[in-house]
Amino acid sequence: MPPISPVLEVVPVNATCLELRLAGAWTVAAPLPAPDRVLQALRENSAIRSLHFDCHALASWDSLLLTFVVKVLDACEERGILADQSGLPKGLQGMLALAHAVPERQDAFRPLEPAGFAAMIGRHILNGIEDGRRLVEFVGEATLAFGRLLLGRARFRGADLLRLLQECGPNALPIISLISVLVGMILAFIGAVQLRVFGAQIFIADLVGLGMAREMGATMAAILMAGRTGAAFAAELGSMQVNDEIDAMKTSGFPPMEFLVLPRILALFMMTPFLCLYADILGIFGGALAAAGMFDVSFAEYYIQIENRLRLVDFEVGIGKSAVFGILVAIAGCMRGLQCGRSSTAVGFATTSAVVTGIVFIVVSDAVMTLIVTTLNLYQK
Amino acid sequence: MSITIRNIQKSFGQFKALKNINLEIGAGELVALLGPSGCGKTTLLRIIAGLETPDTGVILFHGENTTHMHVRDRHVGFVFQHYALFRHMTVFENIAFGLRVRPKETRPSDAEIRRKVHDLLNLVQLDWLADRYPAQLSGGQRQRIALARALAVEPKVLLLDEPFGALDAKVRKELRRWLRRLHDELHITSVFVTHDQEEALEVADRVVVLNEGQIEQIGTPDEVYDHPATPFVYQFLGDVNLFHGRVHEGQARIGDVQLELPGSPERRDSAVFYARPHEIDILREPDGQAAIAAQIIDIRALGATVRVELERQDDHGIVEVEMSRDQFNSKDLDRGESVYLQPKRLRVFAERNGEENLGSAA
Repeated sequence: MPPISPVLEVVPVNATCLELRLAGAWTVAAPLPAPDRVLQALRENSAIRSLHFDCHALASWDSLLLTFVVKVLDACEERGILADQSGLPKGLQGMLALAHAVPERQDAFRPLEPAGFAAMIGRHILNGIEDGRRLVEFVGEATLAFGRLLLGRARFRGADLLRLLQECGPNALPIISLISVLVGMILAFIGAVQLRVFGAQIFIADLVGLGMAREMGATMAAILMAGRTGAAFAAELGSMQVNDEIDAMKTSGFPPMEFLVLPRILALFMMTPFLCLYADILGIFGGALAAAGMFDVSFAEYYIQIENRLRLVDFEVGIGKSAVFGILVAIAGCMRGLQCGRSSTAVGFATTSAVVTGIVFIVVSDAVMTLIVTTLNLYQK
Repeated sequence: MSITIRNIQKSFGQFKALKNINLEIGAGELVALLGPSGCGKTTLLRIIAGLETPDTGVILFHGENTTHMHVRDRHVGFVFQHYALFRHMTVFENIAFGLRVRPKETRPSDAEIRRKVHDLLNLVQLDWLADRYPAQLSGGQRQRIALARALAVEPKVLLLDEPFGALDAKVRKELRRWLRRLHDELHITSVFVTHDQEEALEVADRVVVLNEGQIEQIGTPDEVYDHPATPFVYQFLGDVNLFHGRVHEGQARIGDVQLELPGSPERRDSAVFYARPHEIDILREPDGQAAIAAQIIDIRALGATVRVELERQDDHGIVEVEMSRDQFNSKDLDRGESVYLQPKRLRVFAERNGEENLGSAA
């Protein structure tokens, strides 16, 4: 059978409806009518709202017809014209359906557009602001809980507080001992190298004593607590979050802030001053070991020098700082724990983040407090 | 206490978890939210509880707007999939927790708390476990304790998030019957989330089928099973066989085969018919025009039922048929045999977005 040449008729059915009549063989064998005529008709007559196909006279077709139809349909969609596909050959409808079968879901994934330098900075700043906002929110809530505690209306279990006190205090002594003695010795060594030039080894005692009491005792104890207890708080609260225990508490009508956070802050606040004092004494003892062992200063000389040089205010400043550090470490640990996501990997992130946040808090607040102490001239009194 | 959910929407970043949910839950009803994972059912439950805030829409408890009410003021009991018992407390303390932590004015006396906890432990039939820690209990026991803990605060609404999801099949079956009995005893308005259709159909008064953040159908278990509103519901509630064909003069035409269709469906040149495995008969002889030729390719016995897998002779895919062991024995079927399939019941859905056209291209 000789191929019948393809024919396209554009017939306006009425003012708003257009019909495309396709006839003949729409195959690669003969040049096809271009869709331009249809598109032009659509362009020229803006009143058209619907379009359908009549393919009764269509003899044969191949994928070229498909490309023609797709162009027409796209144009219809652009103009909001309703295209009725039911007049098309069955097979063609199937192919169209396949072509449009899996539209890309717009809401299923987060687009990862490549971030430019400015965008990256912007994102970091926004994250920083969000983080700051959550910190303020957390501190605010903790303060309210603390207020309720002062009014005697906070609700937590005494047994929990005792367990936490044990955890934050006595259980931390071995590691604090080791680190403090070594820090005291290091201070002694650093100073001794210079002081020996002048034959002034006796001032090792001043250096170690003042250094430990005013600064190092509090800082080292706090940093150890951040790594040990702050991380433990974050892990504990984080895994409670993962296990829905925190949600369970909320639905039992109970604020986790009072039950979980308050005793932790209290425990660290109460124990770090003791740990700080302990670290001070052991650090000074470490300095004595180094001085007596290597720099010809006897224990008695060292002791008398310390007694003359150190005053109560030196210890008070260090201990005061350590109480602040205790609160900050507890806040960092609890905040990161409560912000933890719902997967077990999130617990790891929360723990790491608690330590980093804790140490940042310690150093920043230390700088501020040292500045205040120096400005107020506390040591000169 | 009735719950009214109106126009609730919730997005996480770009992802739309819930798209305009409207739902009425009557007082004392036990409703199941059923859907595949990621369909938003847990999010909806958490919004009802107040653990999550919706982007738009309101939640009413007994006509009172609770959308912005704090979780602790809503008086809901929540049971979590992984129990969420407090690890460092005994069973007794876990249940007493919600009572002990009340402000002084409304806190019951110690004796009363003790009596109440023991009542609850008796209710969940675990009174003898009061002094154990959660780690010393089995999964089923833990979940019952979690339920007792949720009930301790005398909730007006009980919400359960895949309560039996982490348990093995046998315990699960036992517990869901027990939950149903418990609900009949207490009559607390309850909503539970599950992805297990069997669980939803067995336990709930009404089933809400969710898909991609939208409600597909709400109805009693019989309604959703016997009259599914959409192909999704039909496919989600059990295994299905699909047949492509057309609707003509009230009959289904699948290949050369003609089958009666119930109702009077309109003429359709391309349609998909659905039939469940147990709704298809296997015949040895063709019954006029109303049977599809097929060859048995596999037979599997699953306890009381037998599943037969057949390939259609016209190369239009695999069909699964389920029958009781007795039926199977009386038919004496063997692998490789040629037989005829006769659907006892066919279902055809109105077209949506041309999705049913898809198959006819083959």
